[in-house]
Amino acid sequence: MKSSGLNKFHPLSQLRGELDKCMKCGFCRELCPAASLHGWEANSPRGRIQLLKALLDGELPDASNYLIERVYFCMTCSYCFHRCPAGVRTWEAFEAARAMLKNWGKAPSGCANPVSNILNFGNPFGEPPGSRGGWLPSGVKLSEDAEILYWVGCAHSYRLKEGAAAMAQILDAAGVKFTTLGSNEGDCGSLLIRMGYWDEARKLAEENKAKMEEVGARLLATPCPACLKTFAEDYPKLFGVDLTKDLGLKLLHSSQLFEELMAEGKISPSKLSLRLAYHDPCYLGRHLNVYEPPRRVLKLIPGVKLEEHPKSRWLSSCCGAGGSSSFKLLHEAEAVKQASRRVEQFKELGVEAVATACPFCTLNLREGAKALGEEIEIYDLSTLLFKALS
Amino acid sequence: MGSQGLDLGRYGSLTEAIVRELEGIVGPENVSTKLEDLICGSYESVLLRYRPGAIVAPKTTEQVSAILRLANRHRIPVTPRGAGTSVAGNSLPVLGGICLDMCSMNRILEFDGENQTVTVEPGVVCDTLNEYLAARGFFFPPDPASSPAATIGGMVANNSGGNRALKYGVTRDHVLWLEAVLPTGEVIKAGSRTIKSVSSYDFARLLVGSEGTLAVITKVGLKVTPLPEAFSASLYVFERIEDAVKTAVEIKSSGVLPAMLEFMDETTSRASFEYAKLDLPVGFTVLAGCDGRSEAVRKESELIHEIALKRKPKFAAKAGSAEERDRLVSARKAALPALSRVSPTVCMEDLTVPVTKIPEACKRIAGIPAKLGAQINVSIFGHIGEGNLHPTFLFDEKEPGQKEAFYKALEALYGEVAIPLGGSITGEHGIGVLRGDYVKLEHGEKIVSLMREIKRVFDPNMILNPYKGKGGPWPLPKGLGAAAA
Repeated sequence: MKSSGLNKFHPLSQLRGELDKCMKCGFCRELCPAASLHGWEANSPRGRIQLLKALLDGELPDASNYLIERVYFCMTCSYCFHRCPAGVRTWEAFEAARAMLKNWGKAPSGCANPVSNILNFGNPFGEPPGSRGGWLPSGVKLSEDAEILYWVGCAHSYRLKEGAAAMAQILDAAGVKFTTLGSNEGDCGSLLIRMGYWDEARKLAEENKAKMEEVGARLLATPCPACLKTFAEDYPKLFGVDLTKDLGLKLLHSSQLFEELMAEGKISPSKLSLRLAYHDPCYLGRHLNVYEPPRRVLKLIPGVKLEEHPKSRWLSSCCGAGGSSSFKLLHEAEAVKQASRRVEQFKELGVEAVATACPFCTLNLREGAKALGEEIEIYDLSTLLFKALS
Repeated sequence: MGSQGLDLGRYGSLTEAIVRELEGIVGPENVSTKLEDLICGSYESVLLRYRPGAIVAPKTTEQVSAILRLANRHRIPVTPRGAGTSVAGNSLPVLGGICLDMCSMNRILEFDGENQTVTVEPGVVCDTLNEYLAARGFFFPPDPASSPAATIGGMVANNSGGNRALKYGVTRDHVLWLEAVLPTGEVIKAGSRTIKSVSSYDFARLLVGSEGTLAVITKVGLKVTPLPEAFSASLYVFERIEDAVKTAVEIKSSGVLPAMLEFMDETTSRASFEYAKLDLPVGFTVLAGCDGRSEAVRKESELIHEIALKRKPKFAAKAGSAEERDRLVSARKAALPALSRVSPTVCMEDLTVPVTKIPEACKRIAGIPAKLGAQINVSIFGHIGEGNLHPTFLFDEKEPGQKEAFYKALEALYGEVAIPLGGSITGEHGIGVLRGDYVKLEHGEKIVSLMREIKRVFDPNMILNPYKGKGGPWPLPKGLGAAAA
């Protein structure tokens, strides 16, 4: 039997080691999006680390509701890790702390609904599984001996259907043999991991591996960075499920696949006159180090002028929906406020539109713009690229 | 005065009623007595911890004044705190009381490019200010390693230095005026908006570096400097420390005033190069840099290079691009954090010696661990141009005896190195809690008693950051006020 992730990563071993590395320099404070929403030290990564140490050392007698709120008041955007001179794997420590709290029966009540939806319906929204593939455009045919498994993800399937359809149409236009799992595609487990429900996520990892094995594709491409990060990093590290090693499955983000298809001349966008900025999704950029492919795709669209905000790439600030919206589900108003701030940063550049490569970012930035009353188009990468192909 | 001077009976308790009054001043959302928040106000980048009784986060000068009037009336200790990046216990509330969290006062109030000034609230972070100024063609030169987090208020209160001090001076050289609230609640404006002013005692300079013992800084008028057109950086690795120091001395004598002249010993170089992903031989490393007009920078960096090559470094490089320069500079700036990857506990100390005494100082410092009878190592880096060394002790505080050995090392550091060699027990980190016992050793009884008298003039009830820092200092017996030390 494989060892449980919880055993390997239980706070008293792995988590403790990470916490002890913190030298309290405070470098993580200033640009932490959560800390900037509520300036108390307890909301900063350093504060959270010291509180977890105090809990493990008994200085804090118990995990109070206030402490639990602080542990979950984090977008797991990993800015702090990139800023941390001591290399504390902050987000891993915080996620492990959440797993510990959940095991103690202390996960915040706000987790219950999305978690139950995932377990019962295979998506956090509680949408019927049967309608999952409803976005598929009628003209697009799925291949029976697909080379590419297009993993759509919950957010695209139910909340950003035009983006889901656009990616299918792009793959169709490129003439590649691809398929989806349709209504059989379930949740990847990302939100469960972010919220501390690791045992439940582990079960999904094993189920998803079996489903992918059945398709037999050589490549999995997804427009969702959270799904990709979960497959590529969390499955092997937490659950010993290695899709690449075990199934020979190459894992790509849609932007990486689009770039390959463009390089092979399989898709050739026509002119779109647009001055836009690109927002780096935390899970694609800082977590997976995929900064350039989406930019190169955008630059290959004739007429697109890409502007860079100084806070981009590893310095990019989270839109507020980081961690598969785990923060947003618990702190809706703060998450939208953070999105508005990010939109304001892009407005400083004077661009007409923002493109991003994550459904959670796309949706939340749209909400942020709406809250500001700003007329700025927020594009999902597939939607924009398909527009240039149409 | 020793511990017998500690009249703790003078202080009142932080009662529920006082906490309600504090909430009335700043709003309940800006006061916390939750254990979690108190723990978060109990530390900085140092081994010591002291828990406050309440955290209070004011947003205006009027609120600070009302808090201090209240605290003074009830004789409650008040310790101002910025980002908590100091390394000597400067912002730790040794007697508990109120932790005055100044981070919410973080607005940049006014920029005046023609008069080259900027007015800020104390909670503005150094790097944030420099980002703002850079967009306007200016910068604020003090550049401590903690600049990503350090607040201007904390930098002023501690007179922070950093890498550029040789050419640009330290924080005090850039403070024109201050608004500050006295422990009795009165608001004063010290200094002047003009560079020249001799119309009073220099209160601004007295408050700069006073470590929050005389007044709470609520606004700062800073002098800003136009951004230089060009920068250079070059890095030299020597086999022998003497060659590194002689190179630094010759550079300083050559008529070139480097914007930075930094030093790392072998242990520090190894960790820093690894951290900055620089594939370089380790040794005694000197990092030199110039800034100014392009042509002058080019000539000066060539001269520095010629001087350094005379002593046959095993590695010599001049950065050819801005990216390379940033990489070399980041290696030095990351020295302390990089060392944290070498050892579980890292305590950076701070002393100065005349530049020519650096080899002797390093020799004596290197000999300290052997005398301690515990597994504790030391590495050294610092600002060679100012003779400001940061001997950094590497150990594991969880291992028995190592923490005690570190405190013994401090006695040797100040008593056998800094003071006998004609230096100072701290160049830029301050007295805080750690160095209280050594001030008299450096400055003598009279200076200490003058410091105490000045403290009493400003703070008759001794409520502001009491019993430590520059306000005495009174040596603290072990465990005093230490809820969690």
